[in-house]
Amino acid sequence: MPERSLGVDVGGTFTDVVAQDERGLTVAKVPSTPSDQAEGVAAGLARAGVDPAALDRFVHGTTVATNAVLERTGARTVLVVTEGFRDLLEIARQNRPKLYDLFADRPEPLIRGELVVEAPERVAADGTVLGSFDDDAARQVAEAVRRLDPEAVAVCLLFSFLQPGHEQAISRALGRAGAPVSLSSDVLPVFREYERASTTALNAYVQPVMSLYLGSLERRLRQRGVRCEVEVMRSGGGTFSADLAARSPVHTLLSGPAAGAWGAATVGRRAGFGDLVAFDMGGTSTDATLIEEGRPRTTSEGNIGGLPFAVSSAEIHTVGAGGGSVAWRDPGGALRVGPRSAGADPGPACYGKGGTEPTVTDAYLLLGMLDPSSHLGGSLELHPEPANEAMGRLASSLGMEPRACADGVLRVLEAQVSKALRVVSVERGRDPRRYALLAFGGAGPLHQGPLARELGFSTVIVPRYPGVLSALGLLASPAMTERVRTNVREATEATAADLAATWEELASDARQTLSKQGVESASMTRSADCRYQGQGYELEVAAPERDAVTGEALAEAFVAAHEDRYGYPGPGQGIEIVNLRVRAEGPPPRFEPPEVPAGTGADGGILGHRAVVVAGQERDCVVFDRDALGRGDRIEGPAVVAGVDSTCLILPGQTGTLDGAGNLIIREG
Amino acid sequence: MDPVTLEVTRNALSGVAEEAGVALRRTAYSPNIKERVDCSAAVFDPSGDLVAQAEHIPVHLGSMPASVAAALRAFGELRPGDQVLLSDPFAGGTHLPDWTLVAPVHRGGTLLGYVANRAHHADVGGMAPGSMPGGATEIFQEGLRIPPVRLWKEGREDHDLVSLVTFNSRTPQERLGDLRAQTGANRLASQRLGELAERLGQDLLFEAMRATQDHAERATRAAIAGIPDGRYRFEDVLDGDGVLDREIPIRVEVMVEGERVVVDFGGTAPQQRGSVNAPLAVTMSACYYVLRAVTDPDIPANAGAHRPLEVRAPRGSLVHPEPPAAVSAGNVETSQRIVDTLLGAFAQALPDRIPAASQGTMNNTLLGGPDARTGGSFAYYETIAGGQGARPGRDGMSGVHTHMTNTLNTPVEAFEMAYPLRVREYRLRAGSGGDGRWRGGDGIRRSLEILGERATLSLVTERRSRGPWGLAGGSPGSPGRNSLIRDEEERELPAKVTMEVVAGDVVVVETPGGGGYGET
Repeated sequence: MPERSLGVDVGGTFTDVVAQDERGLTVAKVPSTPSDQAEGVAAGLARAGVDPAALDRFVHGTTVATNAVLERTGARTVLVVTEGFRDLLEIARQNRPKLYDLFADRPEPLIRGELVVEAPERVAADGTVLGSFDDDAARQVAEAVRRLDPEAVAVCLLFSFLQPGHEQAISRALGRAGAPVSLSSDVLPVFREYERASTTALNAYVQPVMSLYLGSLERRLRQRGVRCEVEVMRSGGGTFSADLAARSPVHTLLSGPAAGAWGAATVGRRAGFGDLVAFDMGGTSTDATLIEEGRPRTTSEGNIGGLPFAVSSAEIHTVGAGGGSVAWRDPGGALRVGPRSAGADPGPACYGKGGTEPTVTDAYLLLGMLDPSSHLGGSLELHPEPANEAMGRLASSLGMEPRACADGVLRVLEAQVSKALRVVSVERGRDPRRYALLAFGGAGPLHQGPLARELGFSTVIVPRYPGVLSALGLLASPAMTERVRTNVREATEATAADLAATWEELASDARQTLSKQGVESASMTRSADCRYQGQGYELEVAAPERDAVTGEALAEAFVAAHEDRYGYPGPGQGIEIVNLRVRAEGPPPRFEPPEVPAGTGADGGILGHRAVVVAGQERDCVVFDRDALGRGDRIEGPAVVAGVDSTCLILPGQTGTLDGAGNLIIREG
Repeated sequence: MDPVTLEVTRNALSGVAEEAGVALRRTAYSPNIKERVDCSAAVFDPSGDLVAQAEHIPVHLGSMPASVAAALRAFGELRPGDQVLLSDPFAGGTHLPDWTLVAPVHRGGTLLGYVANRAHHADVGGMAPGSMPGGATEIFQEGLRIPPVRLWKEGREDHDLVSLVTFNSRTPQERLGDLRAQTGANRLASQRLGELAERLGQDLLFEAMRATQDHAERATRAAIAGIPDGRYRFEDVLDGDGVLDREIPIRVEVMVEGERVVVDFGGTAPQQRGSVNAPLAVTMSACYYVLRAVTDPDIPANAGAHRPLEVRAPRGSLVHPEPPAAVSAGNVETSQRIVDTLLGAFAQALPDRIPAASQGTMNNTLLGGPDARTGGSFAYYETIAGGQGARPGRDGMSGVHTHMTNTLNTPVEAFEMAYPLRVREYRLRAGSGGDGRWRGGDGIRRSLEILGERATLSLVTERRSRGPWGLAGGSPGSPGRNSLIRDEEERELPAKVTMEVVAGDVVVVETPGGGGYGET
């Protein structure tokens, strides 16, 4: 029997809910409540119509930490660094964000110099302590910290990944009573002080607000009868307990996008496609992700608003173009789309809320892709008149017909999204013909055809619920935790016993964490970050699946990974092991959405006919009701498939077939 | 070409250059390219005019077209499968460590255009590790000088040439790796350009190349038309050339006439004995950088955007030297001062849009010597950030790279694991930014302790005697300062110096603050 589980993903406008119980899946959207996200979550629980007490799992995707960073509403945080490095966060990596824009600013550091305390300590590159730093010195540092009246404290000392003693001494001196303390040797014991400090500072900065939020959410859910543990989605995939999330909130900064990527991976895997490129087209931007063997790629080079964090997160490439993007004429006379967006207010001209600039959504309406009476998700009425006027003004400034201009807007948008899809596939040496394209987000399925053809994807998947894929991803995510530690050495010098000992230490620590969440059996994946000596980047390589893994075996795996990623193997010697990693994953959730009943032919789902401009030509398209289609129903393009949260356009020459899970599988011919 | 096809094909063409740039960065071997991203890739039309460029640092911006021109001058015509290597600053290069590889792209007997890429190689020989010796007076002391040569002939690599050029480096294996990465990036770009021709058809491809250049030209002209017509003069100076301790003036007159700009360097100092000479390609890069910054940074960088600009740089001057001038600091230091001088002129035309002077130097720091830990030797090169000039409406940023460079720092922990050196201090110099209604950004104070028995130190720095200027009544930023602490005694070092240091010595580099803007 499937689990009774509830996934609640909070977005900017809507809180998406997917519930699974013996009746199958229930999908709902409720308005988000930015001042207290917990309210919207509770409303989502009510809307889902499940018995709270009977839930086995409650999985949450939240933007509380994300928003606290972006809006700078986190805690007053004091940072402790090694003497001489007060301005570590402000100097960052010395570079500026835009080469030619004299007025572009770097993001403000999270913690300014006046809230930084220097500790008179130093550890050398080989881990030896220089000079002395005793408990007395630690107490003086703690005193200096207290005088700054912090709500949270971050400690990041040089080489603490080799010698965490000084950080721990400061933590002891600060005591348990005061503000919560984040040590870099706990949060991320790996080298590169700026990225480690930034990660630690982010963790400390959002900790009080996250802790408060999760506490209040749990209380509210308990009041409503929820008895199971509350789990939170991690940026790097998998979930962790609310208790852990409150202590390590830095792992939730990309919770939402990660859930989307995992939702896409789950849908793809269940449809029989482990390797895919997924894109999520929203209102202001489009995210592209590469998924291989059923898992989204992860990176340790994430950032939020320009502030880096080096804990793992789904690797997502974003372009600033989506359904709400504004179309405009540049001074050289080209038609441009984005990066500015009309937002929700006034929104696209067709919202009739006073927007006068033409947007992508206005183009959809003018080309017949959206039905003016469909109300876009149920609540909004669409007005062709203002859309026509706005597009008309742009068209005449470009010397074009309004409809050709609207069609051009979509082509320019697709050119940008196509670039993003190339970045995650072709540019990594992946041949799109061997991958499926998964289109989601409100607007994604309208563009599947041209994008698949341009890049050569042989199959397109449009999921059953393109608008709530993130919430679906929550239900499919197992409990997960990761451990990493820097220990740089030459691969040839690392014995199997050495490596096994470190991995086992990391694994046992990870096992403990999972067991605190009630997860007793976990699968362990061991890996190592390797590089050629002198290189500035590491490549993560999975340890071969056997007991005794030697440094040489890792080096071999690294050479192969190097060739796979970069196209050539490198010299094959002088390889260093930099970090060792363990990923511990609980058993896969029993996520078993019911089969869609067999269809009786697509004709039963016909809503009517509509003229739609497809690739510059007006075509008479059959419009199908997504919800009325059954398994095996075939639709030949040109056709429009209208769903509750999204509309799909099937091109002439394409055929869509509904699979057992209710996904549209679209192919040529 | 219609506005839609224009934008779609422009995206595709810039995508070719961007993908080649990513491939180069990913496959390069040396940290200088991988981590500091000191490289570029570009696509050219059949006449050798720039169509699209993925540039990571501005100093490559205007100098890549000169490389293609030099390759064509040398060989007249290139055959399918040829790749031309060059580094000579007097024939398409910038300074000797920058190696550029140019390849023609053919399809079915038709020349589609050229692709090229450039990477800064960490060592190309010469009298000091890193190939940027402070005391050089001739280019021959700065390393191996490569005129345009065919490294690949009709699809076959010339192994003799490869071993000749790599053999002349202190790190030949690394050179080989980087060079192969460059070859691969060009191959990839050729393949992609061919695919694009296939998809669009050759005629449309050529039309798209022209159209994207014309588009950038129109946008640039429209932006220039918004700058008040007039003649704007400005003068700035370099501290010295490292040989003679004497200020070196750069003079410029910027003439804005309707939709075009003429930059005249008449009156600028003659070429110098030391290495501060800026080859014409470097001077052009600085001019293009400023044009882009004062018009619209969003305009794509291609030959069209450069058409409205005319540069007059007298032969034999600091900004257009003749061989055998030493040039290694021209690229990294003089280029910054040329930018300052041009922005000073434009500030008169656009008083509300130009910031005060930024630090105006890259504070090049080079250390090399024996490394007892490995039994081998080490060579370290880094540039240090400083203060940005205050902007009308906001303070300058502190501790940031400005104008012609944007390379990342080496993390302290990576640095100390790699070299027998220790960072004692890496802080902002509080109060070093110039005063004003808006304050200049602060410079940096970075102290390095020598842990090994001995090392050779080279400093190539600027703005040590005069601080970066303020604007509209703002005060100048503090000048930078170099010093050495030995046996607890501190002594000041010159702006440009090469000297021996020993264990326990601490080298302190204080970088300039940015100028202030507006009266307090």
